[in-house]
Amino acid sequence: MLSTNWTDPRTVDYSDAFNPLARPDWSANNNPFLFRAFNDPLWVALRNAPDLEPRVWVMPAQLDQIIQPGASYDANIPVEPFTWLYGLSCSATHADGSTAAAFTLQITDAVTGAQVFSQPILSSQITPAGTPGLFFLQSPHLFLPPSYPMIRIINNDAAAALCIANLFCAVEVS
Amino acid sequence: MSPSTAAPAGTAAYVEEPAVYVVHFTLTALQQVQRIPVTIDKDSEFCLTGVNGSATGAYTLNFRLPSGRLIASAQMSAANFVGTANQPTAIGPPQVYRSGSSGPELDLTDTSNAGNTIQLIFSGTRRLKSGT
Repeated sequence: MLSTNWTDPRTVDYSDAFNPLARPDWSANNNPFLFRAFNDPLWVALRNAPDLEPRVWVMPAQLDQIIQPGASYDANIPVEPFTWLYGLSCSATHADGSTAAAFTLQITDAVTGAQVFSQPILSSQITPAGTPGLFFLQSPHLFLPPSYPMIRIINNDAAAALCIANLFCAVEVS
Repeated sequence: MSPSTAAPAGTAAYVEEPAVYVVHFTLTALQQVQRIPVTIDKDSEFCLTGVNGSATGAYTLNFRLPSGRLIASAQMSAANFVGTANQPTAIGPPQVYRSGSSGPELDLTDTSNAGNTIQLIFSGTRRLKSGT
């Protein structure tokens, strides 16, 4: 598997946060999945585009983060026009913060109806316990105006849980 | 872009180096603090590409982009955002903080209900002007 060519580090753009050549854990040998993702044409465009700012949408709002067992939380996320969704992170603990819980998550494009996941996904598949890091989409999703993301969180646990999903986005600012 | 970029005649040339800005802060139980500066060196701009850190308890954070906006709509749980030494959370598209600015000013809130010693590391590249 260690068959990729050596890359001269002087040719690597270290100011590109998503450059798989700049981070050994995203190399073609160590993580071919992410290596290919970051070379997707839309990812390459996002990595090189000027006038983009990162945004993180923390959902639900703080007062709504404790969800009762079996209950769902639905919200329209008021993103700015031309928002690209590129990654996610999640956490779920029981309301006392002591033990891990889990919820299911779905994100839908309000105009096209496109869903990020074909079925609601378990939060532990986005962020496994004890492993901080982002879940990167294979290709960033653009919410073209007037569209916006709709989020649904369902607490599958038998007890109330503190459910948080962070949506990592890039916004065109000019 | 290579670490050393040749500049057209008559314009400034830049050299890039790795840069790591380290923030130590100790919060008391449930303490909230706002706008902790991470002062950027006066000799170079700072291009932020990653965040990692450690703490003795749970906390939430948010910080400002060069435009002055907060990166997140609400404070993020550190467990959801702060990466580890070998896998810093990628901050992108990368943001360039001007030399001498107060950098990614931090808002921190302790949620552990106990004293909390936090070390946050903002990593990226430094752009030094090498000539005109």
